[in-house]
Amino acid sequence: MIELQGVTKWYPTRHGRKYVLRDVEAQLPAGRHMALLGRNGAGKTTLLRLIGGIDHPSSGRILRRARVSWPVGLTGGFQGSLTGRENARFVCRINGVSHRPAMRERIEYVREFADIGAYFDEPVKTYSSGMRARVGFALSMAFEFDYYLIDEIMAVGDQSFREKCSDELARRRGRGTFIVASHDIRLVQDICDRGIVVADGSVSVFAQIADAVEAYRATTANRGAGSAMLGDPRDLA
Amino acid sequence: MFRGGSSSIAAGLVAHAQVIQALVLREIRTRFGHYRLGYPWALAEPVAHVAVLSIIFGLRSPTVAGNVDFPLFLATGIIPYLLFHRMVMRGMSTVEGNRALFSYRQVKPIDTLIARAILEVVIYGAVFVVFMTGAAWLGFDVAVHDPLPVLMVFLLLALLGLGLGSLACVAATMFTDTTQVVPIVLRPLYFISGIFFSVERLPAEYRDYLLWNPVLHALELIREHYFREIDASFGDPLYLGWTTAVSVALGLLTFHVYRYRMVAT
Repeated sequence: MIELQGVTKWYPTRHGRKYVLRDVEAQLPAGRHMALLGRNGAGKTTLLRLIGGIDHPSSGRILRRARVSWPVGLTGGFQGSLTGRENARFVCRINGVSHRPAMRERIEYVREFADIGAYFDEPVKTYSSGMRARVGFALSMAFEFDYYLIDEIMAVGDQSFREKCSDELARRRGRGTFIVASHDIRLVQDICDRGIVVADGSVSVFAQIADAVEAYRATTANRGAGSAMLGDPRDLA
Repeated sequence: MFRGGSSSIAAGLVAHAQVIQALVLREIRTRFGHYRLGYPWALAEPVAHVAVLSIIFGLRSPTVAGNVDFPLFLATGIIPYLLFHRMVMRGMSTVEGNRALFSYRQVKPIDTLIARAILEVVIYGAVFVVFMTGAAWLGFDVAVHDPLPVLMVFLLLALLGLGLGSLACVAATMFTDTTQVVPIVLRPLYFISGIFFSVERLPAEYRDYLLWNPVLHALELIREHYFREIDASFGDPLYLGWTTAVSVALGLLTFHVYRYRMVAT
């Protein structure tokens, strides 16, 4: 269970405080896959980072009695001059996997899943963005989490790798809980059971994903006049 | 992080230790792993720094205080000083330099600070040993008169740098100018901290002012205990101890208070 209690987040700007979230109350029970919906800049990613403990609320608190992943597919933490293998070792170590046999097993999993051949032992700075994404995703899957934070990165790599990713995520969906920040309504409807809509700093929690999607559509329809399509056309930018 | 159970504090410490270890290994590999000669390069630069200065200044002033060989006098000053300097500079950039890593929740700013500190102490400790071994091989008498106080003062100086570095780090995340100002402040310190002189050789009217500087105390103390020829110095262990304690307490407290704000994007 993850619980947000009176969570408020603001950033200092030149014009005073900019509130991203105000007094958010929400429960994210295990087994209920949650969608975070909202326009660009509404605060979805901030909310996801708060849930993941990467960022911290300005006030209020977040109870996190579970193993929560880093954003699935994260590649920003890679050190360019180190190889894929060395970066993978680092991630193993910070997750408490430091004994040789256990680590070797994880690394082997990452190497196989990423499937980038000999590049696995080359510096990450020589990788294409697709190769980075492959290693990033493989690393996220090398650990078993209670909650998986997914920030709009379902589509990494080429067609075959994408299929591999969605197969693996489908398998994980039974064991872990997904928290997905996305604009892709069709995908969110497939994966998630519940939804949170973020708009103008306030959030609304919906027990049914269908209601959440409807509410999200209403916010986009109000703002972008004439954009009754899926999502907001500006989101494509 | 909630881990539950009565051993959650112990578990938390173990987790920190694991992260720090991972960071140290990562940093070593990043900085020196890709050179053909590898890890010896970690020591080459500071050793060369001292060697070159010894040659340049050694030609001019063969002895300094109490018949101590000048290269040894210089090394016992400059290696601890460089450690102090590195602690401040590396501490200052630790959050900016590791920002991407904070996306892994396990990695906290304090872990990166400690990892960098450990690495610098190990590197400069090794530089000290390598330099003195080299000097012994060249025929200098490098015997340490009283090793324990030397080690203690070396570590105190490192802690002093750590405290100031963590203060500078907080300041740097709030005012970007900090990274410009700190090197300018440190520059004169290189010349007034006793790397090239001992306090007893100074005119009495300057001593009192220069002795406000705790780094000068540290270098005086290191030499007093390193060389049999020097029995007393102007270094006051109490003054060094207090300034270090205040610097560490203030630095780490500020670092702790601002730990979330530093990471917030």
